[in-house]
Amino acid sequence: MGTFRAKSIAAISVAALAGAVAFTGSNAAQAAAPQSITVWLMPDAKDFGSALADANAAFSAAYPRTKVIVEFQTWADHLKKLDAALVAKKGPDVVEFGNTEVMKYSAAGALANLSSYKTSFGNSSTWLKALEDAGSYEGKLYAIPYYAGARAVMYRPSLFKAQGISVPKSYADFLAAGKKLMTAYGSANDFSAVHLPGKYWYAAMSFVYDEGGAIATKSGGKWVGSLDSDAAIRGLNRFKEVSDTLSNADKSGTEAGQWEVFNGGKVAMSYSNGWESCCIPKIGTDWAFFPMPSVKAGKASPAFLGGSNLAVPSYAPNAKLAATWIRYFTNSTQMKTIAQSGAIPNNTKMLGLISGAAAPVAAAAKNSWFVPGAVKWVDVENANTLQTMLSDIATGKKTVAKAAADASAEITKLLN
Amino acid sequence: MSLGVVGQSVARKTNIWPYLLIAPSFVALGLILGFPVYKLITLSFERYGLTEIIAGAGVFVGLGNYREILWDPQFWLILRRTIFFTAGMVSVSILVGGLLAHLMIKMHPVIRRILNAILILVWAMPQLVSISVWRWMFSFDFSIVTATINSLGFEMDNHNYFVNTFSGFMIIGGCVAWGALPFISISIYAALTQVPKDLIEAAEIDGANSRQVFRNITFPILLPVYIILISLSIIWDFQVFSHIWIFLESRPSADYYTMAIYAFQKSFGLSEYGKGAAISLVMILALVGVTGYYLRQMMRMGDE
Repeated sequence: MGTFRAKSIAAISVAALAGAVAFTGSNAAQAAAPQSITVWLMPDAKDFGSALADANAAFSAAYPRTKVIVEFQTWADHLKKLDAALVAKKGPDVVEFGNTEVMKYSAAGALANLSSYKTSFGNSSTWLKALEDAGSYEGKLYAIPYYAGARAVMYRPSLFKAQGISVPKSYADFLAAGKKLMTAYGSANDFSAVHLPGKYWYAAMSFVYDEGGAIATKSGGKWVGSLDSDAAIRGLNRFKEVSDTLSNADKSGTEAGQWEVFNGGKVAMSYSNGWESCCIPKIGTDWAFFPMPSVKAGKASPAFLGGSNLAVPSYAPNAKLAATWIRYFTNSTQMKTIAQSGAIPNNTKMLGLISGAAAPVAAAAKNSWFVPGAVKWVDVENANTLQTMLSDIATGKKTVAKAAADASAEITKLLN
Repeated sequence: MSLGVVGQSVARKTNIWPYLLIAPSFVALGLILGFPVYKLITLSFERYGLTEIIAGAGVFVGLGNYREILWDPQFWLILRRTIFFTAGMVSVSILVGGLLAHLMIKMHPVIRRILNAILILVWAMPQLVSISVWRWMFSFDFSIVTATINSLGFEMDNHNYFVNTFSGFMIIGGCVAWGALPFISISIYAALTQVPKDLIEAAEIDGANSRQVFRNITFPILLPVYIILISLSIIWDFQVFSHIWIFLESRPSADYYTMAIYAFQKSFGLSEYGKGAAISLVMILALVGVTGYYLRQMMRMGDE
């Protein structure tokens, strides 16, 4: 029986260890030899046409003795692997970060300070503000803007046409259009004029920022949750209004996989990423975008700007060389290719290169909002504070004022 | 008569061979498990976040991590929730698995083979696939369960089965128990086939009724198997992670935290590895506490 006991204890330990010590295992890539640099990119780069291959070719032509090794990572575990590399002090020389992830690493001193090279990067004077802010900490630049994604309203032109609706120019128009569609198609409980899941915080916060509100503001060196401000409450009321009157989406659901619902044909509008149009085969070509309209007629509501930055870990033996590779990958030539593939380039100057149906998404990127630049912001995301507040509002579990006050208090607690 | 007891009296004599023979596996275990466990224990006494990773060393905080965890009401809530959840899954899977096994021994061989094939299929299905299929069955927009209820003539709107944590845990637990069924029922069935027929015949000739046969012959022979299965199920179910994680789209709300999710969130979500290590160790202790009873039972049987 002794073996069994040893085995079961082993099993227990293994299970627990998997949760806590896995990072000591050296998942990290091989140490960079002086004449090679390792680049960790997300698979998204594969969708950017020849940008990566071109950058590598140009870099190799200029630095023939340096070998570039590109290793694709997954969003789910790239930070765990990076933590392991940081422990081992060897690993990739260039790392792609989601723009909400990078601040924590800049603040901890995990990344090389690239401020002195800033002007050598292409278009650095017109970088998208949200990406530049994400890559900066206390006035220093740690992560270079790479590309962005924004959301706009994806809609079904055929339904709009059938009801004689033109593209909304203001929030009031948007609401009126939705109501008209609900009257026409909403007799069954599964049609949504606007598919708005209850936990869709990127959509809700767009309303909040449009009203002049914010998730949190910094005053006197301390972060304060500000969703209970009058402006933010006005935004949250708009979220509730759309959710109550125009949406039959899951009041406690997230936006994950929302294009599948759009593809199901019972949605007239949804607040979508530009790329979601890829995955709606049943809808065919019956889709287009317009920027979410603002309360101020003729203007667009600020869109959340997701995206990526490229950084050099502090242990990298040759930070300058790594930064040079980033320079080749983010220069105008590559950004043009990236823009032509439908993603948003890292600067405002080239937004015009995105043409056709995705153009409104690029326009949305001009006026964007971003999460508070607090080091501990990721704690708020992990605690699901905003999602909980929104689903409490959408389901009617709490009043808007109460839910906002509770969430604000929690955000203040988490950020300090 | 029960499993693995026969050699016991031999081992009592001082004989170096058994130790020599087992030494290689102990060395291997020590290398594979001993060092990580040692790291885990030292880590649990340190503050070890990103700043410490960069600095290259953790900061010793004594029992700080433990104090913080044990003083946190959320921790106790999560521990209680995990124990209830585990108890539910273990009892359902053992009960249903046992019933299936006892049914199988009485079944027509053809039906038994069909059932066996189905069980093996369930067993062979990769966990990720089975969880995703279960998740789709209970999704909001395209749920086959909701559709079935509707087609039976009930009026039911699209329904989020996970708003109510009770129904949510029932579904997740159901998926876990479903996945555990094949191993449990096939093991018990195998044990049942080992019950000597002549023993039962002899008892029947002596005038024992079926209940007496079960109590005095079948049950004692099955008991060790049940105990092993229950202990293993507790160990597996206590640390269920991927089911909750995948069902709730990698963003479980705090109502769905179990010990495993909690430790993961602390370690990897917030990069507080020291605290995560402490939670893992507390989790191991809790698990040893829960399974301790069964392990003792089993060792007692071994000594008889």
